[in-house]
Amino acid sequence: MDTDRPDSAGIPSEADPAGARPSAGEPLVRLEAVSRRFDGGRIVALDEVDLAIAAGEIVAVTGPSGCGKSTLLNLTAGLDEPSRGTVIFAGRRSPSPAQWTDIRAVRIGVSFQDFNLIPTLTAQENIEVAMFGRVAGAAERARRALRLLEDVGIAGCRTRLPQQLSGGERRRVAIARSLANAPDLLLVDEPTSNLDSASGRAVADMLLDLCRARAMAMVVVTHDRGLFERCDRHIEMLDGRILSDGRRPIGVAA
Amino acid sequence: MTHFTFLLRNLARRPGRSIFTILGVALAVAGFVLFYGLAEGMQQTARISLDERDVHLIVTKRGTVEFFSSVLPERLVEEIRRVPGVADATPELAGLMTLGDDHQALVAGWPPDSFEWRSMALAAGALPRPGMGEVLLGDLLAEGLGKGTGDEIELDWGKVRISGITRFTATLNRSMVVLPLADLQRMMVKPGQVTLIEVRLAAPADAAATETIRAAITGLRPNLAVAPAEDLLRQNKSLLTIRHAATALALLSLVVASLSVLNTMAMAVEERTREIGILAAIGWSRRRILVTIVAEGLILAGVGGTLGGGLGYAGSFALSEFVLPGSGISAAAILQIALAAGFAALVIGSLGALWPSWRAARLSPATALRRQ
Repeated sequence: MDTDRPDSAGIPSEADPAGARPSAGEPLVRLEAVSRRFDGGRIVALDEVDLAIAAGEIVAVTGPSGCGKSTLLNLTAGLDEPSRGTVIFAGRRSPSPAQWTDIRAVRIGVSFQDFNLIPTLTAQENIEVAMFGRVAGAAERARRALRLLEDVGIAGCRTRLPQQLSGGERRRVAIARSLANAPDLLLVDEPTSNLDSASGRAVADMLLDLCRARAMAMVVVTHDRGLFERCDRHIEMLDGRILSDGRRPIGVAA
Repeated sequence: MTHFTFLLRNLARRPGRSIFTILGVALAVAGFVLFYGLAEGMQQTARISLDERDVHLIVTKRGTVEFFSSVLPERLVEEIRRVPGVADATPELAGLMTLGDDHQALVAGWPPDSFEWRSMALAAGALPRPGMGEVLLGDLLAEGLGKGTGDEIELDWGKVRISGITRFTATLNRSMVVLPLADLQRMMVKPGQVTLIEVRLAAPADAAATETIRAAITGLRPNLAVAPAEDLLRQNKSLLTIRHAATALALLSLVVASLSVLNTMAMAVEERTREIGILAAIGWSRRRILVTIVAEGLILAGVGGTLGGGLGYAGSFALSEFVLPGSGISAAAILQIALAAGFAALVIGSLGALWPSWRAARLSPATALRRQ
């Protein structure tokens, strides 16, 4: 049965399958000594990483290709399981795959580097599909999807298929889809890659504005220096480890 | 967009494959309806034919491989008439004879005192007179041969005259040639012999009494088979073999349909592995993914089953009306089989889609997303 998301923002609830809702500043997700190895342990993608993301926090992660940034996002979203260590989301330690599904459905929005839109669905339908099982009624899903397309500035593209959209428009659709169920945490992989500088800047502006307007935490993996510096917290990675973790000095404009 | 629209979009992305799968299921279901209909038709035609003539029990020789090879002494009928609870009994000599050019028909001979003559309705003419070389033709057969009362036809080795046209409703009866028993015995060189004895009961609805009468008749002579009219063909070994073969072919058709859906859905899951990862990443539960793939299989099987049911219905109808008149099964019964086959297609479609959907639902989102 389709159900709307419970209106329990900020109120810890045992009944919420996606875990309790922390207030701003409290840890939303925590990684404790998390490692991820592939190929029987020969490839170390992430090595003993400790990280806590607070509610409402905007975190940029950068580093050379292959340093573990995308693996970090996958583990934070529960898309992959750590080889060692623990991921805690909203107080729930090492959620099961089914619990991660619930968490991703209502608490986490994921936007992939290569968009990952479904090619047979229009821009609006790509957003609606994320609401199946969460928002009752096709008309209501359509209304909310259109509103999200307006929020990301491409309502005029709603009936176009992904292949009929520009890279920037696809990125916006992917971001709108990740916002479909009003998540607490947005995980975004390289949102400005493959975009010209003007489009990249516009997408970065839009992301930061949306997160701040909704008090939504965001972890954004980026090579875009401009976007990196405009985030509240900066993490640099190298060889599966966190090399530096610092905050933007107070008074420096985003 | 509804979930159903989403399913249709998925199926429409490979229209050729979806259409061929639907056609595969349709042909399999149509085959099922035809084969099974044929098997049922033989049974039902005989049952309706005997029902119409108000025959309750049939006495034949036990263990006959082929129906017409049953041989009983004609005088046995007197002993059967004396069994308490038997209202009447009549002997019948039956066989297949050639009419004119390669046209085969069921020919039955009854004695002058048979209840069959008394309860028969004639569309035209009169009853055949013994020893006069006269026969009655079923209206369907007469129409097929283009013959009427007074015309002559060639029956195996000799010419006979049509004295009248019968008016039955069962297809088998409408295609039957009837003549006096003694005449047929002479033609078939079977003096004093009959194929079966038809029994009318005083209380046919009384199951316990019927069983007692069956036992009593069976005890009259060794090697007697006494069966309710509806079981007449069920006990015949050659027809039973045909029936089993037809049923096996019908079931094989359905297995092929199931494999067709399985193959299509397995390919779809293989091609859409990455998309399944996307759906898992945006919060789709394993159950929802599983239901989606199974539902796609169900749509293919449902459309194919409906189409196949319709094709099978039309095919069976055409077969009994135009190709093998008299072999047929009633339209209502074909419809029943077509509906059952359509339902079976739905079940096997979902079974065929289960394995691919189970595989899809088990995929780790990260693994699925890494696939190109």
